[in-house]
Amino acid sequence: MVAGLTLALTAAEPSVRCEIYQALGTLYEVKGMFATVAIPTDAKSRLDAAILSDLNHSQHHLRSAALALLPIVRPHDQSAGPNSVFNTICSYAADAHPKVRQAALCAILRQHMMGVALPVEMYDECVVATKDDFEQVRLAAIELIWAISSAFPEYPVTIEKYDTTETIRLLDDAFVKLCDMVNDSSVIVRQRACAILGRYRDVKHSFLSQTFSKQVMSNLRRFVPRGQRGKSNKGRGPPKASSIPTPQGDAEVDSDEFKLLDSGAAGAFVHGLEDEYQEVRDAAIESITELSIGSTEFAAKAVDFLVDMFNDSSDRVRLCAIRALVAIGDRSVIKLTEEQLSIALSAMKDACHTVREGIYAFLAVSAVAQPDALSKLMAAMKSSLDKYPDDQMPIYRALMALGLSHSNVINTAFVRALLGISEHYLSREARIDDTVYAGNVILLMNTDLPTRHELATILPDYVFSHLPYLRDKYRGCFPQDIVQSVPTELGFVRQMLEQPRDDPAVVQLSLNDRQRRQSSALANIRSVLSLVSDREEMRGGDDVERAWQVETAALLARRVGEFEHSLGDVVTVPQAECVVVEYARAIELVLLVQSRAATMLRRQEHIDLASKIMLSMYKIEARSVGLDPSCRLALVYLRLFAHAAWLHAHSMTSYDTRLAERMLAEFSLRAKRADQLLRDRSILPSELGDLVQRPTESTDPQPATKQTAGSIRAFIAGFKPLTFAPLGRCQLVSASCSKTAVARRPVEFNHVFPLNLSLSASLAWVAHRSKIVVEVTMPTNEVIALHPLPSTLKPLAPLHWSLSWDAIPVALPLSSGESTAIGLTIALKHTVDVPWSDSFIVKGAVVPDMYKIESYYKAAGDLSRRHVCIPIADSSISVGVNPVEFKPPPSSFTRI
Amino acid sequence: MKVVPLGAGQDVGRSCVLVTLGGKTIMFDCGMHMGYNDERRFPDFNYITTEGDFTSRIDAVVITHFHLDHCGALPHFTEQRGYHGPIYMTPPTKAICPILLEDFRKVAIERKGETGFFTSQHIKDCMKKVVPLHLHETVWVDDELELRAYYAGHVLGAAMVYARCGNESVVYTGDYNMTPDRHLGAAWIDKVRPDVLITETTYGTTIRDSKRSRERDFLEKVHRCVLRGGKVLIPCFALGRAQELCILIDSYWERMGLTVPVYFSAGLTEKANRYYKLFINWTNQKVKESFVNRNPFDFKYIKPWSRDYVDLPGPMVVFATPGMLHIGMSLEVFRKWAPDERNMLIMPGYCVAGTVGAKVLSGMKVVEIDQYSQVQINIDVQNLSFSAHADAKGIMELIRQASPRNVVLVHGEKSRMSYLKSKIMGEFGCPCYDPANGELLEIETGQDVRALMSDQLFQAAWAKEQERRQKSAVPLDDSVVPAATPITQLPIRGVLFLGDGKRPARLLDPSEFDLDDIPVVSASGVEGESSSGEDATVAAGVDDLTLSSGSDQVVFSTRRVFDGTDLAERMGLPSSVDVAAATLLAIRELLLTDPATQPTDVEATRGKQASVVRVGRSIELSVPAKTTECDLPSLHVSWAWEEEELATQVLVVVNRVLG
Repeated sequence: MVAGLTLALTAAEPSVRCEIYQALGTLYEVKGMFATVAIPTDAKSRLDAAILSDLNHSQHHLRSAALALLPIVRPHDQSAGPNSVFNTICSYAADAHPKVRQAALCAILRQHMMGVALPVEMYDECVVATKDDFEQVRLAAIELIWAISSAFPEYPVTIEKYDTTETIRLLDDAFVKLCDMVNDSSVIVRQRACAILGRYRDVKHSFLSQTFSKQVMSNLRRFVPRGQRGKSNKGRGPPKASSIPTPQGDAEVDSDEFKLLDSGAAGAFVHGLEDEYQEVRDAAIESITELSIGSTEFAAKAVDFLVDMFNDSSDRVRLCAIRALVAIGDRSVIKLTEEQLSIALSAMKDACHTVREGIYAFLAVSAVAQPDALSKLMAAMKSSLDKYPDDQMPIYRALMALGLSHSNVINTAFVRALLGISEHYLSREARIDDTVYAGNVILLMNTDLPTRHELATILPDYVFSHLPYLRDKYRGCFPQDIVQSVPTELGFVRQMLEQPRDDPAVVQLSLNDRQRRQSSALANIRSVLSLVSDREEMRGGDDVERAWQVETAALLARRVGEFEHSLGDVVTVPQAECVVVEYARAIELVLLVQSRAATMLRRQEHIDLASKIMLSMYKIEARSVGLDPSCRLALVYLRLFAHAAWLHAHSMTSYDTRLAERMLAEFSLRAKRADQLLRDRSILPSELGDLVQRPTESTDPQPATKQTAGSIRAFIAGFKPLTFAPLGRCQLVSASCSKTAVARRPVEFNHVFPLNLSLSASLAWVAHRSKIVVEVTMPTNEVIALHPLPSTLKPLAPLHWSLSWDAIPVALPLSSGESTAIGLTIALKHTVDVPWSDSFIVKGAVVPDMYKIESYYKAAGDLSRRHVCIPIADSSISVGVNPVEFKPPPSSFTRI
Repeated sequence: MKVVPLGAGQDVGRSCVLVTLGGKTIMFDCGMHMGYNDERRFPDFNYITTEGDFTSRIDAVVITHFHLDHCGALPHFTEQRGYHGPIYMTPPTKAICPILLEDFRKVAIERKGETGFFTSQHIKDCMKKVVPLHLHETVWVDDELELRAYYAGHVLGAAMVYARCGNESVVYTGDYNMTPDRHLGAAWIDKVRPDVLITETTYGTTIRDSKRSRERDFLEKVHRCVLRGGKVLIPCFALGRAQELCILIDSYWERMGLTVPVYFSAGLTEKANRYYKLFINWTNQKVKESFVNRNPFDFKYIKPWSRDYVDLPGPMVVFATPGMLHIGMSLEVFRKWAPDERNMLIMPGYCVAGTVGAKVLSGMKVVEIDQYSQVQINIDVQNLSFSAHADAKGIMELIRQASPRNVVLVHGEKSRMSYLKSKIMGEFGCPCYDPANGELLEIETGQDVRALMSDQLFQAAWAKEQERRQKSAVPLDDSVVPAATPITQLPIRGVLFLGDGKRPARLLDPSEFDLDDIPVVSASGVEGESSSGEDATVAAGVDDLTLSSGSDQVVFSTRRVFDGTDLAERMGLPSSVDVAAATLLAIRELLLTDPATQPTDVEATRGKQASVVRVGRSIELSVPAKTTECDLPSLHVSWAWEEEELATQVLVVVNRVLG
């Protein structure tokens, strides 16, 4: 087919050629043409010539189409160096037409995300491209700047200005460049720049701190704070009578030593947060959160700005700011000034329940310095409790945390005022079911022990006698050692409190701890992984080895468990790490398979394990962008193992010999491919040798099968996974469906007609849009994969898409009144290596004994078996559907 | 291109800038000065002409926004001075401008008793001449002059205007704001690359702090003052900052549960809200999205002001117009409240020098309100930066967005301008000027001619370039194939047709002429470089040559008119001789001296008087018949397209003789 297409190339019109290039690109995506499937040399050379000549065609469509195909076909990689393709593409970043420039930059970015190393020299070109006239080009350029700076963070960049030459790291320089893009004239570019700023780690503090101040840092180092500047103004003598002093909030600039525009990162986030468009503000807040998690000093500065965002006019931005603060506060307690508190408290009156809950969570992680501020807070909590009874539990949870962090503020005077206890008179007992009272008690009882002992002297007895009831009613709202706080004379209360509670204590971990644990768990996982892949031949026979395997598997399981435990909802994990953990899980299964390989007792278990390994390998490969080739190879190799394990669980003798032959042939095809790939990288694992050199000349198939079975067993036993260490550029493909697009109440539809559902989502890091499918889970648990129409997918940024499909055709065989639910999710379609076998392995199924060779041939041609769908959305959306029969409304003219 | 600021040159107030581009003159803004009450308050229109025929001198007046220092002199100019040409404004400006003018007129006539001021009828008549100018819409003033408006922030309906005529273009920013506020968006402009960018520089040496911290500061100050029982006066203009601050105060009052009364003095408020609703697409994203649910300009805590309230005891907050304390209600309230030190005056915006506001801000303790009264100032004066003007960074940012070739600074103080000027020259490397009022600035613009290229010509040139590259790309040793590079420049040889009126100039292949039905067109062979894609900007020296289109070949011709008597005197000819014929003879003689330009018309020389001299194959020099409209002697020279080089030599000789 490729040969035919290339033949057509020579004769065709420009528009047809353009189509042909696009078709070839699709072929590459779908079939792995050029990469895995070789094409005839004459076709290749024809194609090379055509592409090279069309690169300079007068039509820009053709130029960009040829350019997109260039890194795939690699026309002259034999003759020139490896970078020549890049150099060519790079030079087209300066093409006369913006579409071609965009295509060039996107092609580079795609290559980068596919695992090809970029030359660092390209950075300069990208910087030039960020000043392009066209926003799509700038968009691609900022994406690329990030890619390069994450690949070469330490590369020195020399800056020459004002007669001084300075060398800073490329990472910092790129950060500053992106900060500058926050002032772009295009909304999308601003949004993207703001979002990308958050991806940076380890930026120098001096650059980070500038983002919150519009004061220009002159010469990139000397920073003149506002106070000093004011002083220097005064020092110049009294201002002339006629001149008007500078208004407050402004700073006069009169220094010649810095440039106004090229002033580093100055005020990037000030601009971002003040932007007219909420999308940009949102992105800025997200980035601030990310950066705050990396730097405490930055976080301290950020709080003030984020609290201010509670006043933002957009709901979405307010919510975003609250979430950001909760994430920051989880790390270190936020100290609120009085003003910030009043802003927060006024935000508590928000009509939106999500915003309120956010505020409670935010207050839980913040601290005030004065008792009167705390009483103000309590008053606000009280009014909230009265006004919104639904918020009771979130408020209590916040009060609990507040009590814990305010032991030093809560004193006797405060408690008297809070509970209305008089110093001189006995007070009336509070009602035990008073929610406000319960909240107050929760606050007081969560303070530290010394404070509680102190308070016990003034608290009336009824408070303590209520404790057992309150503790059981509001579970988890009182500390473990609540017994300690009860005065000894109230023995019966103590007894009641000492009764064991049925739920085990939930250990609350602070974010810091969690993060530390997480990173140590990751390190552990990595070390175990390297242990597995570097292990030497065991001495002492199979038993020792088996024991070792079981032990290591258990160890790995424990480490992964630790990692998951350390994971909270607010901790962000570098995406490469997620992949490693997923891989570790698979290795754990591999070890299990190996340890049980000798015993063929539980066949189904073997099949299940193989299926899990295979699926998770496909999942890693489909979901991660930017894996380097050696990692991909490790995945391929592990798939071979899964296949072997699956095959091993079959008793081959029970099959039709021709079928067994086919099954083995499929396996050996995979083995050969893996072997070839390994040879290319000059890795030669010893255990592979037997598999590839399978004697085919044997006339009798039966012994051959047996022999192969033997070598498979040997392969499983001797299997060692390759090293798997993805680089930092690795990104996870993800999709987030917006829930609002899907109606919350059941969709009513006429059951006679097919149902049209709507779904909108944003997808990140999807390299090939043809792979996106929407999976519809029918009420019968049948899953239908639908390809979104091209018009429903719009590119947001390079490799980012927005999907808005408002007519997903779903045919439901329902009659009226049968209301049910449909699940919608977004998945990636991934091509499998060996269609027929993999379709069984992925399902965890065994080839039935009665399977006919005819059905094999039929099934091998089945297109649907060639893919496996990997869900990428975080959660699937369930839509309630309610088929009803629509009757035409009775017309007034109808005669009765 | 010529730029003359009639007002606002090195000054703030009475903005008025005359720009002549491509032979057309535009007046940008026609404002008045708040600091003066005599004839100096209007721009000096006598500069344009003293005869009063403004309409023929000025092709269009463009008003960027409704502030009086940008439109205040308009009725005076159109009705009293007699300009009858078109006036361009954005729709909100057109709607609001007459109200402000009327307001101002009333104050000037009724309170100050001025005479000779424009009347209500004048304002109405003036507004009838206004043509609306929508955002991003290209409006043709006539066949050549086009205008386009860009969003400028600042106030409702403020616009930046891009004007282009022929090959010259200009951007006049008016006032603009690069940071969005609570009800307006931020200014932005395409990369239009104008020849000249005329920008305001009110805050040219200021870098503004974050907006939120300024807002917080403002609210804190107001709150502190009302807590101690003081009255807060906030002078501001009825539209713009007023809405911004009202939104702020309203939400703060709501949040803090304050009950101190807040008043708004202008009767304009209700009208203003109507205009905000009417022109909702001129506000920012948030207002546009939320106004369906709730109008952000429906204030809960802000009540209309009555003059009687001024003597009421107790704290209050009053927004009063106008913002510079030079006149009206704000001045009246200020006079009452100024002596009390508990009170507070918050100046949120810029004050033009000479106004009471400026005097107060400069720290004077005793201020003369008018010639009869002066007032002691004990009030707490706060100057807060809520001005909707771009700060230094914003100005630089706008310049970067537009990427002009020259920058002209107006509407700012001279000291600030000179600082900014040095910055602009340093950072953009483009010339920057700050002319004073009445100073004529002539800016050399590029002689580029923008032309549309025919597809055929382009394809041919491209193919030729590709071929050339392939030839040169044949490697010395076959092993290394050089990396392909994009074609970004290519020479193009074609014939340039100069456009007439709306028709743009075109670059064509000679073979395409017979497709064209124009018998005589101006043309010249050019060699230029295409810089971007399908249409090319061709740099070329254009001769005023005419072409008679032959049936099979292209012939260029030119007519040289010369002063006969002067030449006759020089050559010592008697007056009776036909000068043209004698000149032709002299030229012929000169041509004979050079073997290259040897005349080929052997038989013609035999006659007494050669009427035609031929050189080469196609070059002809002749004396045309005298026409009625031109009785000066002239020579006609024509040549074919192929012999251009030879023709040039001949023309050199002709020029030498004609002097």
